[in-house]
Amino acid sequence: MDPIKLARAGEIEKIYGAYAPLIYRTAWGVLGSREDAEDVLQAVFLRLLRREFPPDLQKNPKAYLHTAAVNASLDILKARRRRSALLSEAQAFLPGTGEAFDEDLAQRLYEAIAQLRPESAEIVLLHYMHKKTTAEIGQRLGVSRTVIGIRLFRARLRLRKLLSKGKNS
Amino acid sequence: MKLKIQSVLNRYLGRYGEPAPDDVNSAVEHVWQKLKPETDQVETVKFEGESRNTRYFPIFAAAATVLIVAFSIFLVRGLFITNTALAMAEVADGSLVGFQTGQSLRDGEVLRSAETGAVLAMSDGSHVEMRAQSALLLERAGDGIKLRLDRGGLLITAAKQGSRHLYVQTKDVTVSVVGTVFLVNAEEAGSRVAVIQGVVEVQEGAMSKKLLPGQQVATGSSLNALPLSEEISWSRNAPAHLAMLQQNTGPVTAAKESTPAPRLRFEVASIRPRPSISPDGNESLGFVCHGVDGVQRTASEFIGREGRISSPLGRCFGRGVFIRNLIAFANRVPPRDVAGAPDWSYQIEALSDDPATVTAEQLREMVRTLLADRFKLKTHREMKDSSGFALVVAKGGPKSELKEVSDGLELSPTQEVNSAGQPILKGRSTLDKLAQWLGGSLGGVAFLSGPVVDKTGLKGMYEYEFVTVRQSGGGPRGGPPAGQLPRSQAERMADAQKQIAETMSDLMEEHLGLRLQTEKSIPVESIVIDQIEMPTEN
Repeated sequence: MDPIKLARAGEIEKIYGAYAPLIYRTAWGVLGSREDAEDVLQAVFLRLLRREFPPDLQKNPKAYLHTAAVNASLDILKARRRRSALLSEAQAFLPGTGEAFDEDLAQRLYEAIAQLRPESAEIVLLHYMHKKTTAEIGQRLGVSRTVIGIRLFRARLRLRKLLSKGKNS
Repeated sequence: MKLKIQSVLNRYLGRYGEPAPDDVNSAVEHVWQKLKPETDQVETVKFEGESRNTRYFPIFAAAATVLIVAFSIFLVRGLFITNTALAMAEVADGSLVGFQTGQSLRDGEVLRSAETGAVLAMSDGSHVEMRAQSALLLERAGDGIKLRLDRGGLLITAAKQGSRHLYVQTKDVTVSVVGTVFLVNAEEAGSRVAVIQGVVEVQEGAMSKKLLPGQQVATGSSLNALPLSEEISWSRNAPAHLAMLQQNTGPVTAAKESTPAPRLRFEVASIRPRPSISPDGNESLGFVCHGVDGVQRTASEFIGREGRISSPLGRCFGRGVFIRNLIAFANRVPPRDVAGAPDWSYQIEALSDDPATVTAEQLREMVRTLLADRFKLKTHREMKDSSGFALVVAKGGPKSELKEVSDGLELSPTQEVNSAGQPILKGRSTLDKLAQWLGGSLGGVAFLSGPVVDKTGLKGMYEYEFVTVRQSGGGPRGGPPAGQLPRSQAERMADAQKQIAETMSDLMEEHLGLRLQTEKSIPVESIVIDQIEMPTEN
C-alpha cells in the first residue's frame, strides 16, 4: 500500500486524539453551543481528510488547528449573522444577564484573530479564552513569560488596528 | 474613542467559559464516530497534488517519527477514544441472543436475554444483570450511558462515575444514578424502580423523585409495588442483595410513591418582544431546549440545517418564537392544534439552575411553568376534526425496506443524518406511531401540515430507514408555474407544504410501499387557550 496514504490515515487518528478536545473547546468558546462546536470539530477534520496536509499543520499543528477552529467557527457565526441581520434589532443580549452584547463587534474580533499569524492567534486564545497565564503559555511553548507578554502586546496592537480599520470601513 | 482592546478580548473571548470536561469527552467521541468511516476511506482516496505529497514525504516521515514519540500519550488516548467510542460493554456471563460471552457490545446494540438471563460488564465499571426474557437498547448518552429497557427487569450495580451518569429509561420513567444498586422492571402496565443501596433519581413525566434504599416507585394505576425481597428473588445474587438491603434499611419495606415533586422552574428567564418573520419570509426561527440527553425543538419553524438555531447546554433559546409555537412545544402538540393564541412573538433566553444534569424533558416542563408564571396562561383540551392525511399501503404492497420485526422493542421515528450526509428517517415502531410522528402528534417536528392517521391495516412492529430527499432528477413537484413568482407568503407556505407531502409520499412509496393520501376529517385533541396575558417584566 502507498506509504503516504497509510501514514496519513494513521496520522489523522493520532492528530484527532491529540487535538480534538482543543478544537472543541475553542469552538465552544466562540459559539457557546455543543451542536455548533461539534460541527466545527467535524468540519476541521473533514478538511484534513479530504485534502493534503497543509505545510503549516506539520510545522505547528496546535497553532494551525487553533486557527482552523476559529475559522470554522466564523463560518457558523457568519451564518448566524446572516439570519439575525434580517431582524430589526441589531443587538442580542448575553443570556440570563440582560447585558448588552454587540454581535457585530464579536464577529469582527474573531475575523481579526483569524488574520493574525497562527502562533499569535494561539497565544491570544490561550490567554483570553482558555485563561492561561503568560507563564503557563510560555512553559507550553518553550519560551519565557516575557516573550509571551511581548507577543501578546503585539497581537493586541494588531487586533486594535484591524478592529479600528473594520469599524471605519 | 479609543478601543479598549483588553476589555473587548476579556469580554468576548471569555463569554462562554469552558465546556465541562465530560461534555468535551463525549462530544469528541461523538464526532469521532461520525468521522471514523471517512478515515477508513482515506486510504483509497485519490488526493490531488500527490506529487507534492511525495515531495513532502521525507519531511513527513521524519515528522511522523517525532510525532509518534511526542504524542505517545495522545496516541494511547487516540486509540482509547476509538475503542471506547464503539465498545460500551461486554457480555460477562449468561446468554444474550446473538452474542457470545466476552463479546463487545456497541452503541445502538439491541440486547435480548435468553431463559438464563445475562450479566453485562459496562465500560464505566457498572454491572447490569438482565432478568430472563428482557430486552434493552444500549445507547451513549450526552454524559454517560443509557439503557432503554423495553421489557423485563434489570438489577444494576452502578459504579461511582464522578459527574457522569448511568441512565435507565423505560417507556414512562427515566432513572439516573452515579453509584448505587437498584432494580428496574418494565411491564405493559408500567414500570417499577426499587433501590437497594445509594440514591437514584426517578423522573416520571413532570415529576421527579429521589429514592432511598428500601423505597420503590411504581407507575400506572394497575401496577402495584411488590415486597423488595420478592423483586430481588430472580437475581443470581439475591441473598447478597437482600443482605445489603437489610443492612441499609433494617426491615424491608414496600410503598407506592405518589407525592408530586415541586414544579420545575428556570433559574433565570429573559422574555422580550421580537418580530418573528423576516421581510423576505425566509428567516429560520424557532425555539430550542438543550438538555444533557439531547436537543428538543419547536415544530415547523426552521428550514433545513442551515437555518437551525442552537442553545448552550442547560438552556432554552428562541428567537422570534410565536407564543402559539411555544405553547405547542410545552404541551407536545403541533402548533396547528393550539386554538385562540394571539399573534405575539418573543426572544426568549432561559437558563436552568443545573445545566450539567438537566434533561430536555425537564426543560420542556420548565417552559410549561414559564408560560403559567409569566404569561398567566390557562388552557383546556378539547376534541376537534381536522383535515390531514391517511397512511395507506401503495399499489404493489409493502416493500422489502419495511421489515416486520418479531420482538417488541420500539424506537420512535427520528430524523438523522447518514454517513453520506443525507437526512434519513428511521425507526422501529408500529405504523400508527410512524403516522403520528409524520403529523407532529408526538411533539416533535411536524413533517406534514396536518395530522396523519394510519389506515394501512398493518398491525405489527416494523423497522424502516430511508433517505428523505430525492437522490437525483425529478425536481420539486408543485410550486408556481415557470416564470411566475408566488403571490404571497401564505401561498408560498402552502406550496411548500404541498410539495413536502408529495415528496414524502413518493419517497415512502419508493422505499416502503406506503403512500399518503388526503383525509378530510380526523379527530384530534387541541389545546384551547382560556386566558393569556402579556408577559410580566424580566
